[in-house]
Amino acid sequence: MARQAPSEAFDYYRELVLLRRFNEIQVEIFQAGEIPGGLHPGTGHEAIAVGVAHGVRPTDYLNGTHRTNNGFLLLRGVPIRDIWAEMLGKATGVNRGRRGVDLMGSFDDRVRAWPQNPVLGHNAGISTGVALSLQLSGRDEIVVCGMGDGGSAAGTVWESCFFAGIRKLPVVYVVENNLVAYSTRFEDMSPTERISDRASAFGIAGELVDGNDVFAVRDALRRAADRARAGDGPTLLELRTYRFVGHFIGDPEVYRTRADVRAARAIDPVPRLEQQLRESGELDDDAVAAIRVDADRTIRDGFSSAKDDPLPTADECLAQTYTSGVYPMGYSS
Amino acid sequence: MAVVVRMPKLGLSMVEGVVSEWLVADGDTVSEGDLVVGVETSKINYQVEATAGGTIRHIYAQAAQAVPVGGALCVIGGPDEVIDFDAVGQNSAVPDAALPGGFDASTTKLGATGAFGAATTTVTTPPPTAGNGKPRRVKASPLARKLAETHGLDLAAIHGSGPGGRIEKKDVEDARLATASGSPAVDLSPRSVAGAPLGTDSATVPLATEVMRRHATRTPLAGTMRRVIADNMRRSTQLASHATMSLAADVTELIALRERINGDGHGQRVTFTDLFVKAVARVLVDNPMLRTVIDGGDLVTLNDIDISLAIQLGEDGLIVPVIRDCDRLGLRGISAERSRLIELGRSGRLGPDDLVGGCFTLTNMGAVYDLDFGTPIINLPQSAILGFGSIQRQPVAVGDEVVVRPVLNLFLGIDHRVIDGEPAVRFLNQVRDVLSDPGTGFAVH
Amino acid sequence: MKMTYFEAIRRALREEMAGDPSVVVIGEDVGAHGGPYGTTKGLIEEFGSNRVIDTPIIESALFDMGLGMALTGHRPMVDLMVADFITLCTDQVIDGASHYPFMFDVKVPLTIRGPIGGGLRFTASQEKSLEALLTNFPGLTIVYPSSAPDAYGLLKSALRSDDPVILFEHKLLYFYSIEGDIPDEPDEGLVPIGRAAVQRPGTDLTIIAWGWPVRESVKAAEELAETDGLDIEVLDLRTIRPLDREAILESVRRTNRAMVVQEAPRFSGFGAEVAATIQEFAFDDLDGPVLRLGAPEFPIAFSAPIQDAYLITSAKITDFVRKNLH
Repeated sequence: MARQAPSEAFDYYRELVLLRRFNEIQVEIFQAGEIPGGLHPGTGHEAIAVGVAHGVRPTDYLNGTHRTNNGFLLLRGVPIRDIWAEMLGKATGVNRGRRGVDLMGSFDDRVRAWPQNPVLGHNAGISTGVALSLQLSGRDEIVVCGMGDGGSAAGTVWESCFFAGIRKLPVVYVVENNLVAYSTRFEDMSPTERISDRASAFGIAGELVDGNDVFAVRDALRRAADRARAGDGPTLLELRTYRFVGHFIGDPEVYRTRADVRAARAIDPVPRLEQQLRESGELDDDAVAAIRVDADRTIRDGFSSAKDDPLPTADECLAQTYTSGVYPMGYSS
Repeated sequence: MAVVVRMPKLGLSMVEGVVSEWLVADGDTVSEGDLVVGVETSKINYQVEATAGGTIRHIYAQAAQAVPVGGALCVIGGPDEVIDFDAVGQNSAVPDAALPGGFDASTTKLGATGAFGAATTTVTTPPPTAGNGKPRRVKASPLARKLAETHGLDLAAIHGSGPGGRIEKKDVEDARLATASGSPAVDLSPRSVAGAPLGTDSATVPLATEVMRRHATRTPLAGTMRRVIADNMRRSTQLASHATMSLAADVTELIALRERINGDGHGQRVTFTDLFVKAVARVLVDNPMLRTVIDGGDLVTLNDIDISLAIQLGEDGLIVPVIRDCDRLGLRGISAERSRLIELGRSGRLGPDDLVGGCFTLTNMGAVYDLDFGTPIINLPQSAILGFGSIQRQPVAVGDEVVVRPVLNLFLGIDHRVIDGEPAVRFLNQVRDVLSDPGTGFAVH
Repeated sequence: MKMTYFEAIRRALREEMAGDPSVVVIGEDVGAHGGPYGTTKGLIEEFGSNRVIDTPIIESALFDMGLGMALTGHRPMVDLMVADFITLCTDQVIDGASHYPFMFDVKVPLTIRGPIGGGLRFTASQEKSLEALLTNFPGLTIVYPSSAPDAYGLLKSALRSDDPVILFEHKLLYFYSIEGDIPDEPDEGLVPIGRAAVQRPGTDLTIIAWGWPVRESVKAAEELAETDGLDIEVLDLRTIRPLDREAILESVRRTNRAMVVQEAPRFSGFGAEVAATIQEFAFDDLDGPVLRLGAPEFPIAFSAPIQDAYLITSAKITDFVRKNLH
């Protein structure tokens, strides 16, 4: 169908489909036994990844979660083959095969999609340090700090909000609240109905946002980023979403029923935006199919390209434990 | 489980041994550690012990049969145990590292004693073994092991002064000094004192530090005469095979002789010590074995009758200077030389030439206080030392009567590695005879 | 120039901050108060509150922040008020600082300083010797100067390092105002990380120590030289990790005997690593087992006799040497 230049919504849709299909194909390949370790896909968190990425500047720092890391990398231009290579433990991976499936990140200044620190809470401290550095240096970038509803309970998060509140640091704390932390339901394990309400204790802004609405997410980030850049301090954003897969692939999901998951599909961000675009006439069946085919080809080509890459050797590692290289005294042996 | 008793390696050069005697018979029940068989080599006799308890099930080699080192002697097993005697009796070379300890150095040296007609020495001490029948490991520090290997010394022959008898660096160094050619073992020169390794046995005796601090006076040993004495004494007791024998001498005549000599009122007074030196010198001339020293792998018989004389220098310690050519010196000459050496010793001016080269040592242990008997320590590398008690009036049998006479006890310490019992006793008798019946043999000048 | 231990640290901080605007000091009570031992005194007046940053009591976030700052262009010196608090931020140091250079090919110019050890009757929560705690993590550097010149030189080297460095300072070195000579020129007194130093040469035994026990060891060695005629070498590790293996082995190969003196409890202390290193690489040069002197098996505590029983003194060293060396 003949179209004008694609709208923002159309672009977001294509990105949502790309991330969704990436999440789904990861599961397929993991179940085929090709990905080592454990897999924690962000199926359902795609609107957050896309909305956050578009809500801040490309130079701002993103410190994502295991549900959004890979999406941020992809959206910030890291070739999908490099992400696959890392998932497969290849020497050519984003982190040379050292970090693995969903904890990878890039400190490259052209990317700035940092990895999740796997011990929950630390992302907040690290991001707060970044924000302090940015403030002390008078830079106008900000940092987005990701965490889940589970990780948001960690003391480090609230120490960070405490200090960031004092210094009015340019940081946006983004809680991806998918309503279940591993096997623990949010409704059972939160003293407040909203995580965002806790912001008031630290004198910082708090906001509850529909995390399945890519525009709502984007706009909330824009507001928070503006505040941060204006010197008005941090914001605690609670982005409500839903994880359509287990905590990990193989999770027996005792905390919910299949009917619960089916019911939640009603708020799935991907069909939701698709429906909007169909209504506005920007999408039809053929376009939807074409976008999906395009996404699948990109993803599978990336996998094919990476799957035969060489594995790293341990030899080089000894010289890379310290940035100053191998210490004298044969310490490496 | 059957255990094979094998021919032990009893010296570095041993390749086979001969079964001399079976102490058990086929079917006997033995306990671990029981002596089961005597074996002999060209150098020693030795009794092999059972390495396990059980029944002697088979004897492989009969008396007079030669068996290579590691070869089967007998097998010990359960009374009804099925044992393939041929299979278990296969020869097995005993690796050098697993040698029973305690013999190599002495047997190596003993090889040389053959020159004196004493080809074998009976060793009845079983080799040290652990409870499992394996030779017990010689405890030595890693460094001591390395040093011993470097110097070709057998750890099993070295006395360990460390905790639990562990051989340490200084033990190996001492052993090396003691066996080295041109042995500085009796070198008392200050030069050798300064370079000596620290520590002696006396310092290894643990004392509660609290006691040491509060109730003791601490004097550093390094660089002192005491240190030299300590090292020499320890070396001697470690290396020599000491035996002591004694005999009493009626010295009525000797006392009379001394009074006669000193009665002329001329020149230096002659002491009993001078008389003893002269008497021993006379007897030594005809007893070469008593003036034989071990030098490395050789026995060296010293032909000059140079006698070492132990002299106490007050609290400072002991010096052992040498009086040369005692067979040719008259009593006054001996006396003068003795006085000169004492004077040099008191003023610390004794040189190496005054201290080394003696063939025999004499120590007048009863000179000041009463003494009946002592066991003087051999002054290495010499092989004999003669101690003198004090002259005491005692009842003695003269003919069929008991009379009171001045009596002097002699005690001779020998290194049994070098000197056999009979020649030693003969020597002692001859000395006794000269002292009891000095006759005219004591030239004054 | 003669300087006390804490003056040397203050001077090193001041010089490095003056020389490099990316160096910042951050921690609790480091500003106007100047830290409990005065090591940051005067810095806030000279460099302002954007270079000397006071924080609330947030150790958990603080050490993550240090990592974040180090990853964003700063060279933070994060102040542990007492080294014991390292346990509040152990994972930050391990999972963050020590891993990131290796995992992500980034520089982490982060320095952590903390007063360590006992002797001031602050009891176990603030007087432990936990230098061994983090030695099992590749990527970390741990230094422990026992003198003013080493504190000066190692702190400067730490602040210039692109790797995370933890610097422990024994409290008694402040308390007794231990002095030392420090070169006047700012760049002359650097002490390289990873190099031990012989504090007293000797031939009969090598004592390997770090921190305050180095000083007690030297004292004990002098006493034993006089009373027992023993000539003891004292090797100050200065850097705990990476260990100066060659210096240890070189010394032990000369003296043939080694003894580790540590303030921490003997069991599983850093002395165990030193002893293992010696037996592994200098086995044939040893004339006896590697000995270890350390604290007894209870936490350091308040009352004088209990604390005295715990701490290393020269008298304990001389007793131990006499008991074990014959």
